[in-house]
Amino acid sequence: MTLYGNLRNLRIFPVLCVATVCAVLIGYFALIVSNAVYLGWHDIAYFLPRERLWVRLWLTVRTSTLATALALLVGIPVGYALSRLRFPCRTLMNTLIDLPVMVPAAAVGVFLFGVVKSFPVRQLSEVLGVRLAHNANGIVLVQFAVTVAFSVRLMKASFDAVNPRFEQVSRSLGASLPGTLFRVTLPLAKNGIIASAIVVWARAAAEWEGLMLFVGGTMAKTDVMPFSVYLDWNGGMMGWVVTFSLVCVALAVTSMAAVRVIGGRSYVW
Amino acid sequence: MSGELLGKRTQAHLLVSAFYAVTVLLLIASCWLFVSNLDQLFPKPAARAVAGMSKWKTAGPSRSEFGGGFWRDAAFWRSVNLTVVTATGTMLLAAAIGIPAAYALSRYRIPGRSAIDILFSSIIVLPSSSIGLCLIIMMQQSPLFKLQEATGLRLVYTLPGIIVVQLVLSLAMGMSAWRAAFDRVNPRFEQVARSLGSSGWRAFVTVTLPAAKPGIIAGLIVAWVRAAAEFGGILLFCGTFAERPAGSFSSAARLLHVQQADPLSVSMWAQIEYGNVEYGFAIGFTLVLISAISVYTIHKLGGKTFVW
Repeated sequence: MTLYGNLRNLRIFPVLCVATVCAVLIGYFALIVSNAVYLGWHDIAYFLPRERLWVRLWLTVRTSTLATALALLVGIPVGYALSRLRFPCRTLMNTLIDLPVMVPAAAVGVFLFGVVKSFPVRQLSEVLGVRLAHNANGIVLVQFAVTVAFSVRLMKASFDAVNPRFEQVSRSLGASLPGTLFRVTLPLAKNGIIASAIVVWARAAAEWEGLMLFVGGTMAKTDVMPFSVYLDWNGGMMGWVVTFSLVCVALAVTSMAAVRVIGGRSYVW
Repeated sequence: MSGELLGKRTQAHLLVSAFYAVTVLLLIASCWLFVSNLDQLFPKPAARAVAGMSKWKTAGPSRSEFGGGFWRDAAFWRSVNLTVVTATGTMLLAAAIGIPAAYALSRYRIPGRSAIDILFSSIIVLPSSSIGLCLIIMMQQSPLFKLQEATGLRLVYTLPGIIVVQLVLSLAMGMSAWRAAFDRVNPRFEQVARSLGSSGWRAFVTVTLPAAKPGIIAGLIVAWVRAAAEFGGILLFCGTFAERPAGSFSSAARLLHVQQADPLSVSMWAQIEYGNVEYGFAIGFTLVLISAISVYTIHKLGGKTFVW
């Protein structure tokens, strides 16, 4: 009787749930491998060693690494502040900080026009002689604008995972606040910070929508990997398009695997 | 002794102020990103001067009005309509698939969990151009193409295709939110309900779902906003619709008033590329408004951080 009850009551729901997981998995897996299957080994071996690919990959790596460094420079202090210090109007503030993530990246790219031509940034770029327009600097700016909120969120989560008791103990034993920060909090949050940095890097390397209007695509100058997927798609060079897309997929999967190995959680709530 | 203590306190004070300063600076920059563009909504004197010279008298945006006169343009409202309809459809689909899947991932021991995690999180950091291209290849170069032929439901370069593109990212992000929501509910409550004789389904509906409600609603909003914000994938997978002949749209599309319209994000890009800057920025600010309301609601509900 209980066995029959078990069969009737318990089985259908879990089986349904697991079936949906399988369906989602198959869909996503097909999505990820579709490029490689379509292109085939021969063509992959033909396209991969070409310089045209490596120029773009190197540009992507360079710009997104610089953008990640800048985003961490802002993200670590702000994440720490949001995690440990008191602020008025928290909801409004969180909304403002998160807004650039939820607004379409294309819109963020467009809105950068106003920032670049107005007071502090314009004068600064003139004094420093850094042109922020249709060049690699523009790419870094777009990637930074899109990922900085992301990095703040991830850093806050990394610091939230550290028990504040350790800091209190360290302070009560006479360590200064900077000493506690550098010798207790940062080492404890190290894995989270490295994992977050990789996620931010992957997001920066995947950025192209903001580039469309703010930077535009100049062949071999400002077309980072995902952008050249779009450019070559318009040019009709299917082999190159699929190769670029394949490299993008490889970058995303590799960096997420690295995050997993380092032990950062893949999602934070 | 007291001097040393004072030194330490000053140090701490300096560090805390520096953190506050960086945070406030980021807040100001975040506001400035949007506020500094408000002047783009007003037509420039040069645009006003040449406004009457245009040979084409279309019903579309005018360049001599605030925001291109977007509120009078029927295409703008069709765009809003299309965005809301597709994003809502995507959200419902994502919820129907994602909530049970997230529950299974959170509660059952499924083999290869780390591989699954890597797969899901890499979808989130995949460039949208790549997603669009992968979808094209999947839909055109696989048995799925024959399935589309057989059922007559074409997905590439059609309006339903928009929902397919949006679903990829919305589902991945919604699932991470829902999974986190289920993870936060203590499985003990469910076990108690089960031991008192309710079925797995009933325990899920009467115990777990209500307990995870704020997180689930926040996940729904995340899925909706991400769907509304999708741009690159739609550009590759669906193209634009505004210039297509009215006859090529189905009667269902006409009934919903979504014919000859692009989603807001695509429409913004297209208008700025055409040179209708005021109109494009008006659409951009509409998108910002939609996102701001959604993000505010998420924070009001969850109050916790989330990553997408």
